[in-house]
Amino acid sequence: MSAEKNIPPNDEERNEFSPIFPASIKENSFVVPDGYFDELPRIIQDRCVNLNKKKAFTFQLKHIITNPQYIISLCLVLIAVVFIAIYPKQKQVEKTVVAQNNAIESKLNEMIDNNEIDESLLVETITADTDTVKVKTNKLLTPDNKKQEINLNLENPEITPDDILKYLQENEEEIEPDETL
Amino acid sequence: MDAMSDKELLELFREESSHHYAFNLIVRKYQQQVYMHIRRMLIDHDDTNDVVQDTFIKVWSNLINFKEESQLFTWIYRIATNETLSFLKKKRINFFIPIRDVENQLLSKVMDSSQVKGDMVQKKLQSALLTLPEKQRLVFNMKYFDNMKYEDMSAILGTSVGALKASFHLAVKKIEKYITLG
Repeated sequence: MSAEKNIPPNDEERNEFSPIFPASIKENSFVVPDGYFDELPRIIQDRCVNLNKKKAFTFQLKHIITNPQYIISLCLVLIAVVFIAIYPKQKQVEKTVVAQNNAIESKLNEMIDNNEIDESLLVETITADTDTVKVKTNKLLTPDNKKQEINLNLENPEITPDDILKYLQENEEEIEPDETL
Repeated sequence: MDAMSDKELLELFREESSHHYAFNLIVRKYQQQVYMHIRRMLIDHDDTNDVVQDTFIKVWSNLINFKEESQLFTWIYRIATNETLSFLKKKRINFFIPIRDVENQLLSKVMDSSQVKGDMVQKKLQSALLTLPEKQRLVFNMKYFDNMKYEDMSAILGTSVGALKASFHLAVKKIEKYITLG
């Protein structure tokens, strides 16, 4: 298509053009930056390439989220992930409790071995005080039949008096009412 | 590049190996005409640049489905026209600008010598064109500057040849009146 200057293609259309318009009026009067048309194809080509990448990603995503099989699989995966994320934590808590109880038991066994407490005595009441646990017994320890208060000094800093208190309460066999010393 | 017909370009485009190369040739072949067509409507270079790029991106996206029911250039021109009209519409809607103000903005750009370098007659013509309704301005531009046949314009604008002739005739009269009245 050529841009003829003020020369219409046929007589009919020639009459439509106004005589007040000079030929020069058809010349381009707009300022176009230098080199614009040299750069434009490259710019457009780059945009097209990026567009294709976006389209491919969008197509894949659409294809996945609208396919029922993918949706079901995704749900199952999500359920599995949630289960896997929670289950180990639960197990960890249980392990911690068992480990702690084992540590307390070891400590008590050690004290029994060292004759710090008599294992035949029943533990009646326990109170916790800072870094020691006072264990009262309901059986005589001394020849003069006096009830004795035994302090369990905690050497293991990980075990608090509350831990031993709790352990002894949970593992009690028979508790007899406290008799004041 | 100019030796290749539209048919040859399309065949080249349909081959995977020459996809990008063919499109590059199409852009180079029609970029100036598309640019000028849009520029005459938008006046501003930056706005025109955006719309030109959007036009060719749409061409790229849809060329694979082009059924050759019309000429390639007619099809590209139609996309460019629609993109231009959409741009002008968005400008009004997004900024809540009345149509008169859009025209005034474009008028100020016509008078800006960094945008329009022509003499006073050319600037006067551009100013006169801005007083026309958008579609009438399009008709005038395509007929007067691009020397397009009415049949091609009809395919681009979706308007009958008779209506286009009438529209052009009216546009000429309005411009004459604008210029003679000063």
